Amino acid sequence: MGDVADDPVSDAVNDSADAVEVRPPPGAPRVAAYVATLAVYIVLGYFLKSVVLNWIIGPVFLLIALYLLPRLVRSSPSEHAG
Amino acid sequence: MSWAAHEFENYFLQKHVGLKASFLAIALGTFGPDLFTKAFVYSSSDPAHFHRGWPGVGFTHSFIFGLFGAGLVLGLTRSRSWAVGILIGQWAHVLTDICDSAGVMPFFPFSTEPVTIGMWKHAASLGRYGDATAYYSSLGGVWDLFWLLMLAAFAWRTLRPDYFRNVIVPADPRAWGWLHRRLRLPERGLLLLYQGFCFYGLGRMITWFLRARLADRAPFQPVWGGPRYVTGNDLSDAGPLEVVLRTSVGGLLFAAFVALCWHFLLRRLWERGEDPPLVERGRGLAAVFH
Repeated sequence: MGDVADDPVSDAVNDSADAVEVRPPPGAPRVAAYVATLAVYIVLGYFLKSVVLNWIIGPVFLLIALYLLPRLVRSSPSEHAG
Repeated sequence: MSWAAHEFENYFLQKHVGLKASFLAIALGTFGPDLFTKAFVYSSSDPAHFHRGWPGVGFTHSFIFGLFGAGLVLGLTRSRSWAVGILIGQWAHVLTDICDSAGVMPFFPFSTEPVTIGMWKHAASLGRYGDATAYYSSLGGVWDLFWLLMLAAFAWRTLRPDYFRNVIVPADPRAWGWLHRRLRLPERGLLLLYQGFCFYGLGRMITWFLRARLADRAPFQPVWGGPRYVTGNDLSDAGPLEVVLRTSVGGLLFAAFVALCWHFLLRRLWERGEDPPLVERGRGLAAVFH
């Protein structure tokens, strides 16, 4: 396996990750976040099957729950005010 | 048809191709056969025949459809990683769908004989939700679980951040770079997008199973050819010998067709194709697997 550092696009991806990453909690809490998201997805899917159990929402649900929503909450006006 | 197995297969395939195929292309290839047809399947008067037979859209579940898609992608983008990904993803979908009672026509148009092992019943005639309930009441659900266990046992490392950073992105820097810039997603976000296919497979497997048991109260019948409460959807009356003969002839003709395509067109497209900087591609099978 080669060195990713040779690849400018990968560098761009990784550099950006350093700059703006919403850092995940380390170790066990990170696993707990995945498990909790799965539980939420299952409950939502059970009651709202046509909304979340499809090819569009399903694959991006993890991204929405563990990255986009936390980022939205962090950048909300109340957060800035605090 | 298979459900979550199609998501789990992606990672298993990825483990065997490493840097030589784009994961996003594999995922698109596995979605490909049903991507534009599934909605029409459920509204058809004969869903099983329309989905897998001919006349109908059964050609989407044939090897030639994947070959055509891969050739088109190679010609338009020059990306070998995408062409290989589309091809193996679509072919994996075709092979997996041999398990249900409708089967597939792998060597269409050289043979329109459906090939099936009848492990569970194709139940699209019950509508989308009835189909899901039937699937997770049969060996189909067990098939999904089997692929999840295969992923957990042999390919779990493909889900790790370091694998994503060292293999997935370098195998397809253009697409991941585009997602990174266009959607303003850092590595963490891209990783979640990558892991999201597995999450979706696991989530829908559990949810549909629970719905089948608790909401629809369907009997769980993991027996060969189940579930029993669904009417059969066999597309052919041919006996096993006839199926083997027709499929073998179709397979030989398909192999000859591929050789001709390679000689007159695909080799030229492949030779002018491009690989990401870190990809070292061998010849023959080593061009695809590592």
